[in-house]
Amino acid sequence: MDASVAKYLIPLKASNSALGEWRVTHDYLIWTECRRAEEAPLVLWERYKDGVVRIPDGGSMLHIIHAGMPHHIERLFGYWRSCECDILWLRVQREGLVHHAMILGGSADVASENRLLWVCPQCAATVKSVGLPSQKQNPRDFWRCESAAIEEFNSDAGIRTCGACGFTHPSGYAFRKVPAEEAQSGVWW
Amino acid sequence: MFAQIEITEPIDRIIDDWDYLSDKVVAHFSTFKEAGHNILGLRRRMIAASSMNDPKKGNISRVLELNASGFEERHHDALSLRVTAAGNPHRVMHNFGYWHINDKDELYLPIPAEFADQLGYYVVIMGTPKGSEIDSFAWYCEKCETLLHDHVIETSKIGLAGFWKGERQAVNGYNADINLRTCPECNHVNPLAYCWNKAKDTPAEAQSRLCW
Repeated sequence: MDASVAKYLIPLKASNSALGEWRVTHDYLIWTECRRAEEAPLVLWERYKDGVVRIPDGGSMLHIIHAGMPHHIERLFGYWRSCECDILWLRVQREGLVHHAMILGGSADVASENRLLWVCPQCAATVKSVGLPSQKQNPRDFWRCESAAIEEFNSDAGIRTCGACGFTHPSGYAFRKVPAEEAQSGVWW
Repeated sequence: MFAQIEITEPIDRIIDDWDYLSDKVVAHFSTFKEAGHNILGLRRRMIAASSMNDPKKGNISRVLELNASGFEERHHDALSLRVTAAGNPHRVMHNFGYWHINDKDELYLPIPAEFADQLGYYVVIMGTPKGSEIDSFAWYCEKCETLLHDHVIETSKIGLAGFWKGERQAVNGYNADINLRTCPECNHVNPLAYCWNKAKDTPAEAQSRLCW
């Protein structure tokens, strides 16, 4: 458990650090964030057999992203991820601010795989999929592999081209690293 | 970006319980219930910046933990996750009359209501006990912190229903024997225990709930 968690309180507040506020407890990995309500929302998507589902992002909600469920959070990371454990995704809007928490963890007998992938926006096929180390057990390797996978994906349009329909997927981006030109244009994923 | 592959059916038809803060879901989590890899408790309470009132139990703002330096009071801070680390004895005054010790971290998040006259949410999150993980109901002398008694249950094997049954047995056993409540070090006679569910208090337990 890191020093800040030893103080027992993890505020759902804004952060200037590159990855935002990540905290580790014995059973959980916790990310917190706070944005102004007028900013574009962090939109959660989940991938199902027949397509993708946008989880409504208005007001407040607590959603469980089940282990193994490919999910993407628009404006937070430019890829899809399936996680080894359940993730609780919390959004609370109060007094002009939107507070977020992403809580990874739970029971000990979790066996699902940790993967990073890209889903074709034209036909929903998997364009590219890469295994990742456990974020909780090995965070440094997790972030190193995340960066390497994105770099490889972005380096070659052939890799980004859907084998099923031929669509070329836009570039990916790392956690909390929305490209500046996309952020300014208001058009991003 | 995903307009062409988006499933546009109403979300309730695709995902059961997609929002655990919705009224219909919260109603099922007023005690504790498994939800995926975790156990959730979702309560509607009056939540201010640093205090909390339960409609039935009143002010339950005072949270105590027992650590190397003795009893220590924790605070509820609205919109802050509070962590009780696995293995730490903890209790909430007037909420449950024992020290709870478990093998899982517990996370608590008070979410104030949007408007002053509404109830907010109090979210409790903990992992589902697995393998040989246990819960303990313990009592320490309120004067000198000596361990008086503890009752251990294997929650990983008996599940949540067994937890509440074990809680009742622990409280009954402690309350039935004044020797258990009498501190062997300082002779102080400690107050009666009581369960989390106020509706099950005996008259004597209800009196005790008011005290500690």
